[in-house]
Amino acid sequence: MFYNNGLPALWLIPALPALGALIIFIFASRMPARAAGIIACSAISLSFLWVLNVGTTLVLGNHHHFVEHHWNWIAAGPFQGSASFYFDLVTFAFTFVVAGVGLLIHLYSYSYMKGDAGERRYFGYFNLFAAAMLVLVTAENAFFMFLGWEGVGACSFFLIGHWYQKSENTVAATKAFLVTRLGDIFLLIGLFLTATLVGVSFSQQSAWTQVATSSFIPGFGGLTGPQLILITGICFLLGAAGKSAQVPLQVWLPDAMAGPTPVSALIHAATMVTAGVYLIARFHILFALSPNLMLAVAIVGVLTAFYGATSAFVQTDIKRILAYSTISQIGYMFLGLGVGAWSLAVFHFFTHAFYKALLFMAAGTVIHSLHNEQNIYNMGGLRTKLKGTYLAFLAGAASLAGIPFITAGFYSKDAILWNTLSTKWGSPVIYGIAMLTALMTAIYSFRLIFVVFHGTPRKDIHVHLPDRLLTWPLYILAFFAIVAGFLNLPIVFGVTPIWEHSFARVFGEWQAEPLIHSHAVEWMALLGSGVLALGGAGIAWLLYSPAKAPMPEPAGDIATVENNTPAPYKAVWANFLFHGWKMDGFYNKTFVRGFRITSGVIAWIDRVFVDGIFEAIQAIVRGFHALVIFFQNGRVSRYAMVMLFGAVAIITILLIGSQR
Amino acid sequence: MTLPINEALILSCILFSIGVLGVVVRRNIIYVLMCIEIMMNAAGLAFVAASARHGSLDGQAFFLFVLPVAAAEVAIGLAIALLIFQRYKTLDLWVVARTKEA
Amino acid sequence: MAQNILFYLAAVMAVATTSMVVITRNAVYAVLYLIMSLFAVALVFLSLNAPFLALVEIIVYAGAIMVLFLFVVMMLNLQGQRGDEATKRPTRRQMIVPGALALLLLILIVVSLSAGTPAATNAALSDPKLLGELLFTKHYLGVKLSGIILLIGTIGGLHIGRGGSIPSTMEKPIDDVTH
Repeated sequence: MFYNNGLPALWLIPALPALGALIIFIFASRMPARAAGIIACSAISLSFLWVLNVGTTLVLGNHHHFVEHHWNWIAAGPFQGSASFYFDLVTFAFTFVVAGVGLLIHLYSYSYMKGDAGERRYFGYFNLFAAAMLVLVTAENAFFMFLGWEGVGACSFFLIGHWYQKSENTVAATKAFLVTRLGDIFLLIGLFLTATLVGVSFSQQSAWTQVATSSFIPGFGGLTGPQLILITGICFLLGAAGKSAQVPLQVWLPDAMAGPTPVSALIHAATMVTAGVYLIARFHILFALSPNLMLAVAIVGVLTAFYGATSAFVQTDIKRILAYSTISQIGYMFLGLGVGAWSLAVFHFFTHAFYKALLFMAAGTVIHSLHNEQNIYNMGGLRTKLKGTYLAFLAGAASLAGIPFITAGFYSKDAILWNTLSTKWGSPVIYGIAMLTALMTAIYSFRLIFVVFHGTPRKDIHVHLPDRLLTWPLYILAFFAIVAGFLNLPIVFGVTPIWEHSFARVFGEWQAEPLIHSHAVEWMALLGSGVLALGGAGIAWLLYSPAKAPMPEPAGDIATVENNTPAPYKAVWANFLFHGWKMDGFYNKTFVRGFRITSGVIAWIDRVFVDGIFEAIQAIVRGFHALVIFFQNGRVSRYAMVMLFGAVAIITILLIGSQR
Repeated sequence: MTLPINEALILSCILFSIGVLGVVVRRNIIYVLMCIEIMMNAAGLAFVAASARHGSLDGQAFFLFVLPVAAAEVAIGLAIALLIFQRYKTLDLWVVARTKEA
Repeated sequence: MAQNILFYLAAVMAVATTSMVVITRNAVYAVLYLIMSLFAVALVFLSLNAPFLALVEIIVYAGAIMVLFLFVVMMLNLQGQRGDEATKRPTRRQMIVPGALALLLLILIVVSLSAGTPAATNAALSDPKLLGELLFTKHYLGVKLSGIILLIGTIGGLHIGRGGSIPSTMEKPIDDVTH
């Protein structure tokens, strides 16, 4: 049951947190509130241990992958989806983060959510989320993956709206759900195309090469193979963009910060939002077959990275800064995918999960200590009061900024940048934008450090110290945020990049190889991005150092979902960036209003014609009703009389029949 | 010697019709139950007459099967009648039908 | 011949008393009329060469079942409620349609019976011993089923009779679980 032919069973990985969620939901009203957290933490830690067990078996046994078939889930013509699990190095990376970082955030939540009215509900959904996310990354085929895909979406909705008593939180939850849902529709179309063209199992994906060469495929109205690949890929890209908050479906993530901070750390930074990266990495053969598709992914990635960095630059809410930074960093992952550096995109996901979860949780600790203060201009001088948190935050921010040689973020981001410059899918223009974005990333990362932790306290707020569960997960994550980068040291250091080397087994010939072999150029690129990061930190010091003149004190409140009112800056461009390039307003004016007008017209048609038909039917039914009610007046004698009448009628008919 | 079999059958028809009439026109649940008894008894009589006509004891045996049915029906019917009387303070089925339960 | 006279007497009595059951206003009288009707039917059974059934009719029907009716009628004390609708006789207008239908039913049954062939044999058996043997050999399953029906009747009567107090406990609102 737990071992098949000597190999550890994969189903246990998602089943353990699912069991935890089940227990919590069934016995919620009969258990003490704290017990829910204990159950959730035990479930996820068991799952994490099992992931380690499976992963070490995979790595030490030098296997390519494990497959575990359970039962046929969907079987309808070409739509063959089985409940099967798949475990290779990509899965290991994702499950390690989901269960490992998930475990730390669970422990953190245990302290963070203490005394919350919805504590049991919170932990139930948290465990359910972990289960769904683990299904997503361990599924053997795209349909089963879609189950997890929708599961994490639902849990994200529930957890963003955790404090549902405030209506703006539920609005934010609904917005997140609807926008990702828009992407999911495209994903489904892509899945259906995949199912008809090659089949949904991940082991069947090499069949795309045959699709790419065929000029006619029956049943698709004369579309050629390459065209179909492009359509499928665009659908997948839009689906991934919805889940991973990429341009043009990125508008939901900043508002999703309405949920509790650990939720933002786990779901909206480390795991769920990277599902799009996982999706494209899994379908890398499809994408690699079309240069246009790769260019689209790279452009979406770099645009999103730039968009996120510019918007993060002017935010005043600590969680929104991190949210925009998440959007930006996932943009880098997409850029990595778009230039064919699949393993490096996964690597950036790996390091990003550590330092972004760390930043969110450290931010949560700060917010917690300052009694739910989120505006960074009301903080300041926390360096001495929250020493441990400061150091952990510094490690995370340094990793985010990509401070050279000592941080994980440097190695993962620089590898993507180098591939952008050097592989066949890359281009110097995109490389330029990505470098500019790297500079801005460094600036806003250190802006956070200087404004929040340095200087003098701006408001006299009593700081109450966080307990051990609020700080120890930070230290562990800070450790990983520094050392995880050493898994993939650049080749110019004269060592083998372990990560890339191992993942070559998964991505094989599809992995893009650098076209530039000059070590000097690579050293220059490496040092260039290092200098940019340090330079960004220096610019941040010049702009925001505590010795400088007073901060640009924002006038308004933090942005709400409607996102129209507050304008904290005098400059128009700053406010434009503050509102995320006014994307919300633009979408409101075009899509939402357009939808309202269209639905108004349809509603009129519905009232006049459709309702008219049904009202006519209703009138007919009422007529029959009046007839029937004669027999159904509730008096037994009326029923008896009707029976008698029937008996007489039947005997008459029989008699007449026998006379013939 | 001839047995009055046809006459007995006609008698059973008459009794059955009277029973049916009673079920339909009476409003008191006790009367309705009694009229159902009359109908059953008439059916039993028809069984016995048929038994005599075919010279077989099967009909008589079936009369014995009518008996427990009638007894069980009365037991439950009267229990229901008592319950109705407890709740509505009347045995009039029309009144019961008019009274809507909360 | 004597048997035929007995039959006709009994038949007339059965029709008359049964009609009185439907007509009479006093429930106790109705029960007593029904008992008389049952006695008359028992006489008809005798004339049909079924003495055992005649006795069973008197003992079980008139003796057991009708006593149950009488018991309930006396307990509810219906004749004390003269003004109640429950004991009102149906008006003539209410009788027309059902009466016509019942009459039609009677005619139809008689017509359909007369369509058959006349009696072939008169040698009806009257031995209770044979009847018993028949019951416990050929109709063995029927006897079992009758027993089950009686059991169900007993349990059902018990349950319903006890059920008068059940709704009051059921209607008690269940406390909302509040966290």
